[in-house]
Amino acid sequence: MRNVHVMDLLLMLVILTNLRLLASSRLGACIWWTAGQGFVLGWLTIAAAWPHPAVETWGLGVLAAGLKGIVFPWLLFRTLRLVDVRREVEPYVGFNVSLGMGLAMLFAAFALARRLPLPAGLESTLWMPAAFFSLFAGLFLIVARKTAVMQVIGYLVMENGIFAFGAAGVRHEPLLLELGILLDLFVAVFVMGIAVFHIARDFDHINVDRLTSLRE
Amino acid sequence: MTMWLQKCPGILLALLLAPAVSGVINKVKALFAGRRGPPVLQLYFDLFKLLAKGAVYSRTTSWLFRAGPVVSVAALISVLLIIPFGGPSLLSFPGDLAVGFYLLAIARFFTVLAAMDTGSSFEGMGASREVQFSALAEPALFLGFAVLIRMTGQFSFSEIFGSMTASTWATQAPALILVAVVLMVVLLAENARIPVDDPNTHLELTMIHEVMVLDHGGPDFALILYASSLKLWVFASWFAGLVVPRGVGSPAASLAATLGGVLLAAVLVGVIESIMARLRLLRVPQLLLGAAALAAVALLLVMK
Amino acid sequence: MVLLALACFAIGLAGPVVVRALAGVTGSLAGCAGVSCALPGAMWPLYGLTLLLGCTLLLGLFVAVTRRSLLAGRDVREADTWGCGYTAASARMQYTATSFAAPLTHFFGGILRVIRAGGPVRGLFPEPSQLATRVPDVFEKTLFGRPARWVVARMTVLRKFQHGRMNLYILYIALTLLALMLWKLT
Repeated sequence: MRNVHVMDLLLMLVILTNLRLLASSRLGACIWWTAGQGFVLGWLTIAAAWPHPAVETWGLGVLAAGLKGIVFPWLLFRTLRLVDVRREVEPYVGFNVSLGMGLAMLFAAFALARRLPLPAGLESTLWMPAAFFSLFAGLFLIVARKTAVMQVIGYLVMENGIFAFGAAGVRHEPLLLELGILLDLFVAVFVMGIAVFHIARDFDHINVDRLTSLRE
Repeated sequence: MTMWLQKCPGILLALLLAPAVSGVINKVKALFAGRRGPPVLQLYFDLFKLLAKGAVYSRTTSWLFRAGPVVSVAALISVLLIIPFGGPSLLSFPGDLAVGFYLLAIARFFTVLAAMDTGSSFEGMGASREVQFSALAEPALFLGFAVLIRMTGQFSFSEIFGSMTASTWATQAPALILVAVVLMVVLLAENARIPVDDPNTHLELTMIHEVMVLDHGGPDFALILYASSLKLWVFASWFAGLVVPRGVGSPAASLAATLGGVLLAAVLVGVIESIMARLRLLRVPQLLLGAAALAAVALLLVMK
Repeated sequence: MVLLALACFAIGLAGPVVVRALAGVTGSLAGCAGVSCALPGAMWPLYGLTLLLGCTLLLGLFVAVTRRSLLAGRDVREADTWGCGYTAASARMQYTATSFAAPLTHFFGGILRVIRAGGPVRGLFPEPSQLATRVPDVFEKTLFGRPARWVVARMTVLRKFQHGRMNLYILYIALTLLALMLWKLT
């Protein structure tokens, strides 16, 4: 099977995991799907530089897969256990409507990607749409879900989208990818460690619609 | 003349072997449960037993009740005329896709009418649920076939399944995998299989298809059972035509390959029924809308 | 009404004949005579459709005759509706149109604002209660109703011109003719 078909399949998996996250109602399942997306992106980084990926590319791919696929889920599950949160996602927007809007966002991602000029050397035509769709889906999750852990997951999905943009050009610009991973690590630890614990301790729950201290 | 003879085996196989498919499914389920299970030919024995019986009709029913099973069987055998099976079908014209879907809808419509005709609240409940799930499964089926139409550029069942070769799979694998999943989900929904409906349940609260035919008995019920086995065959042969593409080879090899595909579909249904439980009734629309979403994604992929 | 329904059915079955007959009419409009010019490639699907539906009808007749002959010498009786063994059935228990459509109206409840009159039964020994639901026509109310009401509200101003005085009506006609003449002259 040619490399472009492998990348097509992997990008298809990224799109499908995003759709599944939009329609899922259990926090544990959402975390696992995000982890799976991270693994697929690590694999994509290596596949993009096939057939002779450099050592740095291998390192980046393994690091990305490990970070997104193992470390973050472990941190999130640990947070869930410590804060003792209800394992149900409470949505502002219902799940059927979320799925419909997910399809609309997918359509918008395809339309947007068609208008932008493609970077040179991209073999699969699904890179740009999948990356845009991850961005939109992550934003939607941050906006339309109540629990703070779900918003962290939405942020991670957005980061996956930006990572996908960088992974497309890993052969020429590996620096972009390394910066992306550093940002991931830093902001994720910051967000999860401080925000969630503070919210939990101050208000004894992690629903963000009770964050009213900034209201006049 | 030989061309006509070449097109006959498909429909003859369908008419003869359709009741065996549910036997295969029950055998797979029994194997999973560690039992021996009923024989594969059990449905044939049931059909012969029912055809030998008399009938009891309800005083509230009218000619609609007697016409329901007749129209179902007639419509489904007509659908078999346009479905390809390892070779072109007996009749094929551009647009027979729509006629096929609408013939299936006519069969369902008359079954629903016969159920409502009895005036029993159980059968009305089954009819209402059946109509709801079919209404939600139609977009998935239509979008799935829209993907195939776009891929092959043809509008007839025979032409679509005839133009799909192994190279189509090599180049368009993501979209075809999605369409296969959608076809399997719609097969489970339209043929009253877990996770949409339990074919073995005895609780009225959970029935959908069995409760619609509660008042039919004797030869009528035999016609209904035969019609539903033909419907399962139709969906299984669509799945087989997709998964086992027509290759280069003799017609007999192609026929055998498609038969293997139908067997594969039956085994898959048996496995899914054994490892999953029935979904809550409120979740079934979400499953069907998810299948429609997958078909929409496949359509976007093919249209890019 | 039955005749009209049968006529629809007959037109559908006799597709090729009807289309060929009408092609003469549309040919004069499209400037192209005959079916093969105006609607190329339409005759074969129509023939196929007629053939398939004819087969369906024949099969239906065949199955009906078979069923009739199977039941001819057998014991055919009439009884109450079986309904899985419920013996106290009454006509009030059957599924009405509202209950038939209830799953779908509930699913699309956000769009169709269902109006309920009467509530749930309360207490251990409840009194007789009622429930009525009505689904108002969404399109009629919002899509047609709102613009129509807006237009009607604006147009009531014109009612002032409908007063019934003959001499003023003649004046209107004269003014219109004058305006047309002036427009023709410029």
